[in-house]
Amino acid sequence: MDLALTETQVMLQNSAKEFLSAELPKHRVREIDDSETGFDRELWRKMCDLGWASIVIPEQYGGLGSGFTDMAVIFEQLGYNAYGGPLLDSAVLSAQLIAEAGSEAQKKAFLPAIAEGQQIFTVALTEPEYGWGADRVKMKATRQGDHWVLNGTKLFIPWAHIADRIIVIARTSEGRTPEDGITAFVVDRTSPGVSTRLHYGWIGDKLNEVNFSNVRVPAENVLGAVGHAWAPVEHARDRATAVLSVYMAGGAQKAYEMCRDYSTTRIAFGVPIGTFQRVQDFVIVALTEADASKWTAYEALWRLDSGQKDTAVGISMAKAVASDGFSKACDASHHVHAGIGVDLDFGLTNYTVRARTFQQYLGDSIFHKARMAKLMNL
Amino acid sequence: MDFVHHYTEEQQRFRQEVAAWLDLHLPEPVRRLGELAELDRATWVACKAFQRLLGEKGWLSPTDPVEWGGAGLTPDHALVIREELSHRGVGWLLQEKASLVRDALLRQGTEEQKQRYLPIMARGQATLWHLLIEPGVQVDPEGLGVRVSRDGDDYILDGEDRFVGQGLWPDYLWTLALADPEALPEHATATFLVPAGLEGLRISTSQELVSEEVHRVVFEHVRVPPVNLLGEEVEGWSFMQSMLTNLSGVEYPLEDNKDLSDLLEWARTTTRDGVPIGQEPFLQQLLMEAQVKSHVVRLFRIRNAWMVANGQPLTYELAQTALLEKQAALHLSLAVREVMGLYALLAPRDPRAPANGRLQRHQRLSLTQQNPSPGPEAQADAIASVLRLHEPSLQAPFMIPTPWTDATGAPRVVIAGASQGDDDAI
Repeated sequence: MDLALTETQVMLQNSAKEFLSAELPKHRVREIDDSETGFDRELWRKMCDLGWASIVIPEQYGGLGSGFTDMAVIFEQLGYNAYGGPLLDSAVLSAQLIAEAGSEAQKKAFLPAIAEGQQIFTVALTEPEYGWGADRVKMKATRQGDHWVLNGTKLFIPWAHIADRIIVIARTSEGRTPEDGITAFVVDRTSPGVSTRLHYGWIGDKLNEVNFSNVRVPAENVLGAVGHAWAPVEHARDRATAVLSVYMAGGAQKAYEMCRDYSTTRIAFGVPIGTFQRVQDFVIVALTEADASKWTAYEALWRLDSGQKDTAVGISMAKAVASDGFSKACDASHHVHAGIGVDLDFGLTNYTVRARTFQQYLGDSIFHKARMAKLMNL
Repeated sequence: MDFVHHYTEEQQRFRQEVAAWLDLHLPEPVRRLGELAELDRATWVACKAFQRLLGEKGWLSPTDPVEWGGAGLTPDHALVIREELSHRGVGWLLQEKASLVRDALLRQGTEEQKQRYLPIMARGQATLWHLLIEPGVQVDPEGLGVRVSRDGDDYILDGEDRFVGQGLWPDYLWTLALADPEALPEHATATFLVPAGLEGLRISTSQELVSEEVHRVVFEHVRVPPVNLLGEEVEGWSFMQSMLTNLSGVEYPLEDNKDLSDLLEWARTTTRDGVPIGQEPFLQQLLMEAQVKSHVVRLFRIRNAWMVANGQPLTYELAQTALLEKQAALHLSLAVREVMGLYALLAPRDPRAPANGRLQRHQRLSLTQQNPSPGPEAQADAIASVLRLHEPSLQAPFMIPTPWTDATGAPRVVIAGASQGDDDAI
C-alpha cells in the first residue's frame, strides 16, 4: 500500500500549480469563458509546450508514454483552477481512441500532432436522445463506393467549434446488440456538409451542436474495423472518465477551501460564521465530498495504470462519486457563502457551472451506477 | 500509488498456518455465534475458552512483546490473524475495543501494572469492558457518572455509567472517575481497572436494540484498592486522552462488508416475475449507492492507515471516517428494507429469514451505531474543531462587495460583453 505520488508526479503537480496560478487568476477564467470561442490559443500553446498534451500518448508516436495518474495530477490542478480547454477531449479521449483502434498509418498521422498540440481532436458521440451507452448511437453512416456518407446531428460535443478533426461515432449496421455495428470516422471539421453551433447557456465547457449533411468521408478515415468501434470507444471513454473524475475532485477541493476560508473570515453577530453549527455542517459536507471524489478517482487511476481487475467498476464508481460530489461540494459552498457566492466576480460560480456540466459529461451518476451493477452481475 | 496491502511469502505461509489452526480449533458454537449473534451462558463459556487458546498462541495481542503475553509479531501478521478470524465471522473475539486500554497501559502504566494486567489480557484471561468513549470525539466531563473519594489507602467509587464490551460478564471494568466536580477534569480525574467481582458493583445489561453491546454498571460504595488505580490520581484525564488519540487501531481495513455482500447476493438470486430484483432500475441505484458509500468508507480507512504508517499527522480524518460510516450504515439499512421488503425484518429463528437473519440484525445495529456515545454530531464537532472553523482567521476579514470593489476590497475587473448566462436570467 502506498498512496504517495511518485517524484515525477509531484514535479508535474508543482509545475502545474505554478503555471496555473500565474496564468489563470479567477478573473482570467471568466474572461476566457465569456469570450466568443471560449478558447485561448496562446494559453493552449503554453500548456502544450509544457508537454501536457503528450503525457499518455505512446512514445513511438511522439508522446511521453506515461501513466494516467501522471496526467491526472495535472487535471486535478486544472479542476482546482476551473479550467481545462480541449485537453481532455483531444489528448486523452481522442488520442486513446486512435491509439487503440487506429491503423499504424493513422496513429503516425494523428498522434504526434495531438501530442504537440498542433491539432485538436474531439469525439462526437452523444445525440439528441442524449446518453453515453451504445444504444444511444443512432446516427447513420452509409457506404458509397470508397467513401462513407454521414447524415445526422450530434449534440453537446465539446470544442467541436475549434477542433481540427472530429471523431464521429455512427451506426453502419444494425447488429444483435446495440454494441454491434458502430463505427468511428475521423472527419475534418472543415469538410463540406459539417457545421457547428455553440450551445448557449450556463455551461462550463464549450459544447456544440454538430450537423452532418451528406458529409463524405474517405474509407481510409475509418478508425479500426467497420462495425466494431464500440469496445475501443468504451475503453477510451473509461480512461477519459478516470481523468475527468480527478479534475472534478480538484474543483470540489477548491469549493471546499473557499467555504472553509469564508467561514472563518466572514463575521456575523460579532463572531466568524464558522462558529455556527449549521455552517460547519456545510463545510464538512464539502470536505467529505472532495475527499471521496479524490480517493475514488485516484484508486480508479491506480487500477487503470496497474491493470487491476474490476478497473471498469472502479472508474464508474469514481465518476458516480465525482458527478454527485463536485455538485454537492459547490452546493454546500454556496450555502456557506450565501449572497456573495452567486456574484460572478467572486469566483465560486466558475466551479459550480463546471460541476453542473461535467456531472453529465461522459455519463452521470445514474448511468455509471447502472454500469457498475451490470459489471457486478447484478 | 498502490491501494492494496501486499504480503510477503513468509506472511502468506503464516496465513496458511493461522487458517489451518483455526479450522482445527474453532468450536462450532463459537463459529455459529458470528452468524447468529445469539449468546447464552454455555456459548459464552465456549467463547472464553477459545479466547484463551488464542491467547496462548499470543494471537490476541500479536504485536505486543512476548514478555507481556503477545507474540512479538509485525502489524502485517496481526492483520493476517484479524482477516482469518473475520472470514470465519469471529473477528470480534480479538476484543479490539479493549485494545485502547491495553495500548494506553503499555504507554502510561507502571511496570507493576503492566506485569499485572497485560499478560492476563493478552492471554484471554480477562474480559474487559470499558467506559463508552469514541476515538476522535471529545468527552464532556459533565457526563461522567462515577465519582471517587479516598478512604485510607483505598478509593471509594459511587455512581453509574454505561460500558461497552463483549459477552455476558466482564472480568475488569475500565472507568474514569471524577474526584471533584468543581475542578478542571485534567486536575481531578482518576482512572481505574476495577475487578468486576468487588462488592457493591452491579451490572445490568439493558434491553436495547442490539443486546450484549452496552451495559449499565452501578457502583455503590465500591472499595477499590490502590493497585487498581492506573497512573497517578490526577492522571485519569490524560490517560483517557492517550486512549482517544491512540492510532494503533488505525489499520488497513478488511476486504468486504458482509451485510452488503449478503444483500447483493440476495438481489441477484431472488426473482420477481422471473427477473432478478437487482435488475429493477430504482433498486439497482439504491444498491449501487450503498456499494459506493461502503467503498468510500473503506478508502478513507486505507488513507488513514497509510497516513499513520507514514508518520503523517491525522487531523479530521478519523472523525470524518466515523461520521461517514454512520451515514453509510443508515443508507445500507434503507437499501435493505427497500430491496427485501419485510423479509429484511425477519430474525434468525424465522425459517424465511434471508442470510440467517443477519440483515435483520443490521437494521438494529445501524441505529445503535449512530450513538455509541454522543452521536454523529460529535464527529462533526470534532472536524469543525480541527478545521478551526470557530476561530477568526488571520486572513483579512471578508468585505461586503460593492459594484466597484470585490470581496477583498480590490477594484472589480470590468469585462466587456456578456457574462455567464446573464442574458437568460429571469
